[in-house]
Formats: sequence, structure tokens, C-alpha cells
Amino acid sequence: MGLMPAIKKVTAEIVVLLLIFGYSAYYYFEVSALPSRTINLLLIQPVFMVIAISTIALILIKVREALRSSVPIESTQGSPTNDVTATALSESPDGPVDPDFIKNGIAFAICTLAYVLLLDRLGFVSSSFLYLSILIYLLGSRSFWLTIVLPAAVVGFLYVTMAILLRFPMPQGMLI
Amino acid sequence: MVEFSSLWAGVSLLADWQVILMMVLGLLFGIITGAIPGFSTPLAISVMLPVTFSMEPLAAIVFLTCIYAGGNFGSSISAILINIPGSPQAIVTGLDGYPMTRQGRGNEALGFAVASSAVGNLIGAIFLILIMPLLVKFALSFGPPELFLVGVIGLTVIASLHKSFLKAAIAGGFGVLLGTIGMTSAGSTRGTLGFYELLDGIPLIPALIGLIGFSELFLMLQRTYVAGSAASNVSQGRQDLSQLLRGFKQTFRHPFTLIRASTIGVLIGGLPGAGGTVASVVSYNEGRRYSKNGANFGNGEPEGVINAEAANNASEGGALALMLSLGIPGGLATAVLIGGFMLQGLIPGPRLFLDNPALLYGVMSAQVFASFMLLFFGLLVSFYAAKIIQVPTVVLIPLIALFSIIGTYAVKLLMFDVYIMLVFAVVGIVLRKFDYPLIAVILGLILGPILDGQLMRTYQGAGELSLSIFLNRPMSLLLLGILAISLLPLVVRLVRGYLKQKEAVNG
Repeated sequence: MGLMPAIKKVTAEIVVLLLIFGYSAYYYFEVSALPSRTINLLLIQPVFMVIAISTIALILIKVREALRSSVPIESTQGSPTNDVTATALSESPDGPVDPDFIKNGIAFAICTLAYVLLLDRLGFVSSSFLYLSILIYLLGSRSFWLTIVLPAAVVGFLYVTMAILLRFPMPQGMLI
Repeated sequence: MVEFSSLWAGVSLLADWQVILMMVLGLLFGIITGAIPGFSTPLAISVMLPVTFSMEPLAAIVFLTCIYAGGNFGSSISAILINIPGSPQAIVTGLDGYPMTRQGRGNEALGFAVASSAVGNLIGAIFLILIMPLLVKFALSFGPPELFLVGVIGLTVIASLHKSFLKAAIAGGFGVLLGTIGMTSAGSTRGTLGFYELLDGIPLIPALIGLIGFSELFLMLQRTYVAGSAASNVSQGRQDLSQLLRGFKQTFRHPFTLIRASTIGVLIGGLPGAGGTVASVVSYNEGRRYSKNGANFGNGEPEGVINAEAANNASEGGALALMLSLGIPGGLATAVLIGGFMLQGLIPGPRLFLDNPALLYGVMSAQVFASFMLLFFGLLVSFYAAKIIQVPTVVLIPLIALFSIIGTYAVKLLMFDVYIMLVFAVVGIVLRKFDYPLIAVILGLILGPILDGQLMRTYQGAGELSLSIFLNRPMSLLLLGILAISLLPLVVRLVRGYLKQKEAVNG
């Protein structure tokens, strides 16, 4: 690993750490301002301390790792051995990364956000159909069956079972 | 010991066509989703969680536990046929299962997997029924200090299993803090940021669906696990059925392997944080040591498949025992199951067993019946497996996303819950990306209120909080001992790392 990617990676790690720590600190100080301080902090204080100490220790370790990794070290990535335990215990074996991942990820995030915001404005049926149809299209399918027929069938099925049979009040808006 | 009257009451509760139907549907859903690469068992359970809201308690819980049982087997289908485990617990199954496929014995391997999964599940279920009353008796003698310590043990075991202890500690602590949000029994309001919806605490189901389910969809996006080219190699033909049945029958020629692997599975499943993956790894390694075909492990040895599958299905019995008796989830799947109980207004733990013995015996005996059903449905799905594993993620991701969102909404008919779900999905994506153990956050979220409440009661009972409260009670002393032992691997690892570093500096 060269110096720049290493620094980038460590910066990202530290930003995430600081976000978690920042929230915890905010919560800790908010709770300690409450009237019955001792009782409220019984658990929260030690837990906050653990987070604080671990955060500092982890930042130090990451910074040191980054400084070292400007000199190539082969052992950090783990050698591809036949060690059953090692492969099986790493919960998510990294598969081949799709080059379209970033594009798909953005499409997924934006569509989902839009869907949730429109759900109780447009109504369940129309917004869900649009969500499925557009997302399947953006993720790369051009088949008429997958982009139009499948979403219509799924949304129709959900509407019939949930709204009509089970009488769940589904979100309603301008349309249905 | 086992109360036979309650056991009988539980079994007779199962004699209801709705419950049986839910068992069949749960198993089928579990096996099929398990076989789809990327569709993990916890995800499958979390998608179906909202559906159970309107069901009767027994039908709902049995449905979810059957998804769990089915998923444990289903994930081995894709591991065997295309060397892509449906969920992590099947990685070891693929070590011998996939070489068998390449030798043209894929269906035989599936036969072995079905039979050993069912036997493992059965042994796990029997263990569950036998051990539960004892565990509950033990747990009932616990007061607030002990319950607090049990929670701490649950958290630390997970921390010591993850490769970065610090990250696990941060994730666990973060989860605990989130778990304490809301109004306390003393009437203070903590961390709600002004949202009155959070007064009851962070709603668990949306948080679980977001953290476990929705964030996994993002992970699925970056994998081209669409199985297109790999799956087309899977042979289909008439001779498949006889091969399938041959493997199925031959499994029973290895009774000792089955029993050993299942026992290992049950015991490891009972440890918080370990779960099916670790169980199958340990069982596989032990199996290789004892078997006369040990040298052939990894090259398509059926005994390897038996060892892995029996253990990962049996681990479910141990995990359920832990979850039902103490209310502590050992892994992601049982964490979501706790959500399923809570939807029905039931809190897993020793009290549940006293208040609802028939229900719990019903749930446990359903596992026994599910094992036999698994034999049949496992074979059935295996026969059509090649078609299932080809579901493209292009379709899968939007559908699961839609179900998660609508499901989250349907539980309480609140859009607020959907927003919470999305917030937790983002948290989950970030934590996964930077390799924080999600299970630690979830455990913290579930255990946070318990830890907080019990610690408060300990404090109020004694008027102060000191170590002597914990040291003067025999049970809590015992638990402190267990806590120390559970931290042992961590200490060993830290010392070893330190020595290695010193060596490197000196060298």
C-alpha cells in the first residue's frame, strides 16, 4: 500500500471513530445534566469510559499502522492459506467487486430515499410501483417483464393482501 | 426435569393446521432464501418479522424458528453447487461439497447435506427440550446483580471473538448507549432529541431490520453473485434423484460422526457470539482428526459435508436454549428472533418459561417436527435447486427493500419507524464497511435496557454500588468467574500480540 491510499483509509477510519465517539460524548453530557445524575449515569458512565479509552487506543494504533505501511509490509493483509478457520470466521468473504457498484449504490440510495419521502404523499400503490420499476431499470435490467410486469404483480399482490384482505391502512396520498 | 404435562400441552398446541402450515411455509422460505447467495438467514427472518405481527403467538414464533432451521440447511445448497455459501455458516460445507459437485456428485452431496442437517437439527431440538428446564431453574435463582453480570458476559464473549477487540468494545458500548435512550423507570428522559416517539426507547424491530436486513442489501449490490455462469454448470437430469437419495441413505452409515458433530454444534451454539459458523469449523476440524478418510477432507469427502452440516444445524438448538432461557441472543439470527417474541408481547427469559410453559414447549417440539419435515422439503428443494440460485440480485434487492420498508411501516403504521429503519441501515452500512461487529451493536441495543435496569435495581437494593455486592453472592461470584474465563482468550491474544511485537522489535 502506498502512502496516499493508506492515509486516506486511516482518515476514513478515524472519521467514523470520531462520529461514534462524538455521539456518545454528546449523549453522555446530555444525560449527566439530568436531575438524578448518579442513577442515570450508573451504566452510561462506565460504558462511555470504555468507548473513550477504546477510541483513543484505536486512533493511536491506526495512526501508527499508517506511518508504518508507507514501508510495504506483507503480513497485514493476511496470506491466502488453506486455513479453514480463518476463511470461515471472516464473516463476509470479499467477492469480486462490481465496477458498477458505486453507480448502483447511488441509484439505490436515492431511489430509496425518494420512495420513503413520497410514500405517504403519493400513496402506497403508485410510489411502490415506481420504486420497484425504476430501481430495477437503474440496476441494469431492460426486460419488460422485470421492469413493468413484476413490479405491478408484486405491488398488486401486496395491496390485495395487506389493504383489502388484512385491512391494514396503507399509506395514502394524492393517488392510491 | 422435563415437565411432561407441559410438553404434552405444547405438542398438542401444534396440532393446528395453521401452525403446521406456518411451519411448512417457514421451512420452505428458509431453505429457498438460504439457497440464494447473499440472502442470509438473519435477513430472511427480519424480512418476515412484520408478517408475523398479526399471527397467533405460537404460529408466529414457529414460523420464524422454521425459517432459521431451513436457512441453516438452505445455505449449503449454493455452497455445494456453485461454491458460494448462501450464508457464512455454510462455508465449511462447501469445502467438500463443491469438490463433490465437480466430480459429478453434486446431488449426492446435497443428499448428505439434507440428511445430516435434519439429524443435527433433531439432536439440537432434543437437547433444547432436555436442557431448558435446568437452565431456567438456574436462571430463576438470579437477582439483579446476576442478571446484570449475565448481560455483561454476553457482551464480552462477543468482544473477545472479534479480531479487533477495540472495535468490538466500541460497537458494543455504542449499542448499549443507544439501548438506554428513552424514558427511564425513574422518570428521566434520555437522548430522545425531542422525538416523543423515542420515549419508549429506540423501536427494536425497525432498528434490527435496518441494521441487519437493509444494510445487507447494500453489501449485496457490490457482489456479482448473480450466479449466472457458475450456476449453468449445474447438471440437471433424471439420474439426479437417485444420486440425491443415495447420499441421503449413506449419511446414516455414519452415526458416530453425526452424533459427535451435532454435540459439538449444540455446545458451541450455546455460547454467545459463536454460532453456526464456528460450530461447523470446529466440528470439521475434529472430524478430520478422527476420520479414517481424514486425508481426503477438502477433496470431496462426504464425511466433511456431514460434519459441517450436522454441526451448523445443531448449533441452532444451543443458540435457542441460550436465547429462551436467559434472553441473550447468541447471534444475529437469534437477535431477530427476540424481536419476533417482542412483537407478540413476550420477553424471552426465565419468566417466559414459567408464565407460558406450553407455548415454549410448543416452540421447542416444533423444532423436532421441523427436523422431519426438513428431510422431505430439503430433498424437494434440492431437486429444483439449480433454478433457485439463479435469482438475479437486480430483482432481489428492490424486492427485499420494498418488503423491509412496507414491513417496518406495517408493524405500528408509523412512518417514523421507517425513518428509524433507514437511519439504522446507514449506521449498519458504515459499521460493516469499517469492520465493526454488528452483532455487538445489536446485543448492546437489546441488552442495554436490561443492563441499565438491573444495575439500577442493584443500586437501589443496596443503597450503593460496590464490588462487594457482587462478591458476596455465590451465584454472582460464579458468574464473575465465568466472566473472567470468557475474557481469557482475549488476554492470551493480547499477550501473544505483545510478545510478537517485542520479538519483531528485537529481531
